[in-house]
Amino acid sequence: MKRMHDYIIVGSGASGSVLAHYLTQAGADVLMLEAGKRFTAATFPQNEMDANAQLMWNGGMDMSRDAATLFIRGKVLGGGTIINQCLLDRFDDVALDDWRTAAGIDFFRNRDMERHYDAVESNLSLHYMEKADWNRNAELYVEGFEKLGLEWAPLRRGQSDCGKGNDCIVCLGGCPRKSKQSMLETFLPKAEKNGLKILSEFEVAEVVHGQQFVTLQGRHQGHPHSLYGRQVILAAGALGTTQLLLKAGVQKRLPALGRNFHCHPQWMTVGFFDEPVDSHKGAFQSVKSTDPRFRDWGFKLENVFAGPIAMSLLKPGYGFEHQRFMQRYRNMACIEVAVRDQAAGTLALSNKGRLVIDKPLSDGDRQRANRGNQIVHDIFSTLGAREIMTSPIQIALHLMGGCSIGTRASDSVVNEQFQVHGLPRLRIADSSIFPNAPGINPSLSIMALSHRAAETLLAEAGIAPSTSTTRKQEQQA
Amino acid sequence: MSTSTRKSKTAPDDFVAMLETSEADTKQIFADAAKAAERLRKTTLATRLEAVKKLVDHITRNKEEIIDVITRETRKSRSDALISELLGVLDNCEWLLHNAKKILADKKVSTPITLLGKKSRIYHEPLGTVLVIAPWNYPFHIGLTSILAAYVCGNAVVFKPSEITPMQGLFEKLFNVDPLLEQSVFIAYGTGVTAQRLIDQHPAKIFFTGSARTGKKILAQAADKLIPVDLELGGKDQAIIFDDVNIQRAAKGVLWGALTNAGQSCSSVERIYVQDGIYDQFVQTLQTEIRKLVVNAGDTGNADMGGMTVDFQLDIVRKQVDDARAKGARILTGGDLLCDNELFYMPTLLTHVDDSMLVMQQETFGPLLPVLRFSSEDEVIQLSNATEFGLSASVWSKDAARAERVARQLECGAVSINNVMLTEGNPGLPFGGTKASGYGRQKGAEGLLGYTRSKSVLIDGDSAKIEPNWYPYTQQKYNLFSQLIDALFTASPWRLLKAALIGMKLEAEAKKER
Repeated sequence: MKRMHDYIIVGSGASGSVLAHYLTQAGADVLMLEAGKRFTAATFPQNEMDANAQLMWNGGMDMSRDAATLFIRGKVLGGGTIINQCLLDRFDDVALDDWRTAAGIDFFRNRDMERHYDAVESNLSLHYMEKADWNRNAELYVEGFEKLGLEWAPLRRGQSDCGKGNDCIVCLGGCPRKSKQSMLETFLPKAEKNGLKILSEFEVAEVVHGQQFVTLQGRHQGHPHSLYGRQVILAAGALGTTQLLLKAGVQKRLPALGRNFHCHPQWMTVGFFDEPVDSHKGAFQSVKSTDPRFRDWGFKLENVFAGPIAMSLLKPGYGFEHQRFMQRYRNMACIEVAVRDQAAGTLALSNKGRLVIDKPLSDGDRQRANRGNQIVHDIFSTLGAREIMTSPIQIALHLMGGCSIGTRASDSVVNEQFQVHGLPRLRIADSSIFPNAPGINPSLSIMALSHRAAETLLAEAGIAPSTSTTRKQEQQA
Repeated sequence: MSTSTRKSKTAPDDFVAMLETSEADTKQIFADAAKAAERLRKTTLATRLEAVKKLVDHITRNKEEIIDVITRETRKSRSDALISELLGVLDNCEWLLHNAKKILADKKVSTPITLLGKKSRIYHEPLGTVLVIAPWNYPFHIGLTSILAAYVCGNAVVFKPSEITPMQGLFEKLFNVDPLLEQSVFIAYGTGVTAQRLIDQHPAKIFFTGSARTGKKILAQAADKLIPVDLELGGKDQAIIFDDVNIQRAAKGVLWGALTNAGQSCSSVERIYVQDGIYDQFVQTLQTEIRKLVVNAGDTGNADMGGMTVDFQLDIVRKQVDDARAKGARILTGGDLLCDNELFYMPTLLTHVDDSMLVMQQETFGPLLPVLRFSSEDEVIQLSNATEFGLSASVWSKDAARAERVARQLECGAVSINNVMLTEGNPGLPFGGTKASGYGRQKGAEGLLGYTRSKSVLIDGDSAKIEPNWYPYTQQKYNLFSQLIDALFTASPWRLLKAALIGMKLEAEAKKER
C-alpha cells in the first residue's frame, strides 16, 4: 500500500464519511481508519446484547467518573450513524446564535450554513414520519401533548424504504433493510467508488504531528502499525478525538482541550398502561416536541423506547420487583427528557491513559430536567397510566465538545479552518468542536460542518470541490 | 566582534546558498586567533570554566529554541535532538566543570634515586590555535564538546561546522554569554575548500569528525605541514546477542542503537549478530518493535525516528538495500522511502545478508538493521572483527564473564555490555576508534589532554654542586658508573645501599678537575 496519503481520516461516522466523500470526489487520496468492524445490512448483530458488544465502545457502557451518566458511542464502520435513530434536523437560530457568540466564528448563522445543509441533504433520503407510521407509543405521546396543549410535530428521519412489518427498534443495532440513512448506505459507498481506502479494526493510539506530515501509530487487528498522511482529520467523536489530542500531549499549549464537553443528558420516564403498548413494535420514533416554551426552558421531549437490556438497566434494584418491572415490558410507554445542558464537563486522561469523563449537572440543568420530567409525568397521568417511573440513570447519546472551535488557542482548540491551533496538519470537524450544547440532534450539523471542512481543505490544496451535478454530467458524458 | 562581522561578510542568512570563507578571511582568522591564544595564556582555568558555567545556564534556559534550529537543519526527531545533542553537551560541560581542574593541574612525577634531591613535573599546556571540523550528524554536540574542551585547555579555536548543518548564528549566540569565550572561538563557514584554506594556516592540531574519505584528504594535507590530526571516522559497529539474553530488552536496545538519529551515528549498530537458538524469535521481536515506531520530524517530542539529513547519504542507503535485495537478502520491514521527495527512509530489517553485499562492507549511516546468525563465541568474534572498521560494539549476554571475554577480543575503541552506545553516555570515558575508524580520543581525561601538549619539567636547586655526568669524563668516573650500573641492575638485598655508596664516591669525584 502507498505509504503517504493526502488525507487520513480517523473515524467513519457522520464527520469522517462526509469528508471522505467530498475529498475523494475531488480526486484526493484518502485513507479512512475505523476502530470497529465493518458490517453490512446482512451481517449486523441479531440481538441487543451482541449489538452493544460489537457496535459500541466498551459494550455501550462508558460511564462518567461518578457513574451517574452512561455514554453510548459507535465503534463500527459508519460510527454513530449505525446505532442512532437518524433524526436529521438543522440547527435553529437559537443554537447558531449561541455558537457564534461563544466561538466568535462568523459562519455560524443560517445564511452561511444553509448551503452546507443543502449539500449534505442532497445525498440523503429524508422522510417525514406520517400518521400511518405511528405505533401506540407515538399515539400516546401525541394524545398526551394535545390534552396538555403542547406543540408537537412529525419527525424528520433519514430513511429510504423501511418496507412493511418492520420493528424499527432493531435498527439501533444496525438497520438490516438498507433503509436507515447511515453512512454505510449513503456517503461511504460513494467515497469508496471514488477510491476511498478503508482500514477497519484500526485503533489509533497516538497522533504525532510533524513538519511535513502526520504519523498515526496504532494497532490494526491487534498488530502495531504506523500510517502517514499529509493531513490528518480526527473524526473520532467528542470522546475519541479529544482522547487522541490529550494523548498527543498538547494540553499545555491548548488549555481548552478536554473542556466544554456536553452530552444532552436524557432521563427516560416509563408509563405503565393496562393495555399492551408494544412500544418496541413498528416505527420506533415518529414525533417530536416543538413547543417553543420547551426551547426556552432548555429541553426536548422525545418519543422513544429501548430494547429489553437497556430498559432493565433503567430500573434500580433487583429480584422480584425488577422481574415485575420487566414482565410489563409490553405495557410500557416511554417519553424521554433531553436537556440542553449548560454545565460543561471535562475530559481528561488517567495516569494509565484511560479517558476520564466528568459531567456534573448544574442546578440549572437539574431544574431543566425536573421541569421536563414533571411534564412527562403530567402527560402519563393525563393518559391514565397506572404507574410512572423516571429512571435515575442519565443516558448520553450526543457527545459534543472537548475540542471547541474558536479563534484563540487560549480558549479553543480548532480555528475556523478546522485546524488545531499550532498543529496545521491536524483537522477536526466532528462533534468535538461544538462550543456548547445546541439542544438539537447533532448528526446533520456534523455532516454540514464536515462539508464545510472538506471545502476548506480542498481550497487550501487548490482543488475546486466538484459538485454532484458536475459529476453526474461527467458520468452522463 | 570578529565572528559576527565575519559571518555577515562571508555567509548570507540562507544557509543553502552558503559561501566559502575567503583566503584573506582565513588568514585574518588565524592572525586574530593567535592573539586570542596569547590572551588565553594569561588566563586561569577557573576563568575559562566560568564560560562553561554560563553556557550550561544559557543552553538550559534556551533549549527549545536551540532544538528548533537543530531539528530544522538535520530533520532529527525532537527527542533525538534533546537527548543526544542537548543532554550530551550539558553532561560534557558538567564533567569539565568537575574534572578539568584535576586533569589539567601540573602533575608531580616521582624522581628516581639517581636524580636524588630533584623534583619532576608535567605541565599541560595549550597547543595554541586548534582547528575543529565538525560533522552534520551531531552538529551541536560534537562541535560544542570539542570547542569547549579545546577552550578550557587554553586554546584558541577555529571551528568549521559542516556546510550541511551550519546552524548559522547559533554558536555565535551561545558564545556571546562570555566575552573571553567569544573572543577565543572563530567560526568559519564553508565546505572542504574552506577546510583546506584553514589547514593552510597551520593550526596546531586538527580535530576532525567525519568520513574516512575526507579524513584521508585532511591527513594528507596535514602531513606536509606535520600537523597532528585526531580522526574520528565511521564505523560498522556490531551488536552481538547471545542466546541467554532477555530478548525483548536486547531487541529494544539494538533497535534504538541502529535507528537513533535515523542511523546517522558513527557508532550506530550496523551489524546484528544473533545466536542460533534465539535467532527467529529475535528477528520476530525486532519486526514487531519496528512496526511500533513513529517516523516524523518537526514533531513536539513524540516521534521516534526522524529523517535523513542529506540526500547523498540517503542514496547510499538506497543503493545498499537495492544491492542486498538483488543478492538475495530478505527485507522484512521498510526497504524504501516513506515517500518521494522526502528524506525519510523507513526502518529496514534485513535477513539473509552476507559478505558479498555492500551493506556488510561499507558504512551505511542510515536506518538499516542487517541481522546475521552465529553459533559459537569464537565464530562471532572472528566474524565480527573481520571488517575494516573498529569504532564500538555491544555484547549482550546474561553470562558476565563471557561478555567481558568477548569485549576484550573485539577490535574496537569501545564496548557496551548489555547496553548500546552507552560508553558515549559517560563523558568520563574516552571515545574513538581503531583501524579505519580513526585514532585519537575525544572526551574523558585522555580526550581533554589531547588538546594539550605536555611539558616535562625537572627542578633542581641552585648550588655549587657539579653533576658527575658532566665533564670531565675520567677513567675513575667511568669505572664508578660501571659499578653503579652493576649495583643498580643486579638483584641483591644490598642493591640500594651499594648504589648509594657508589653515588657518594661519584659526587666526590665530580668535584675534581681532570
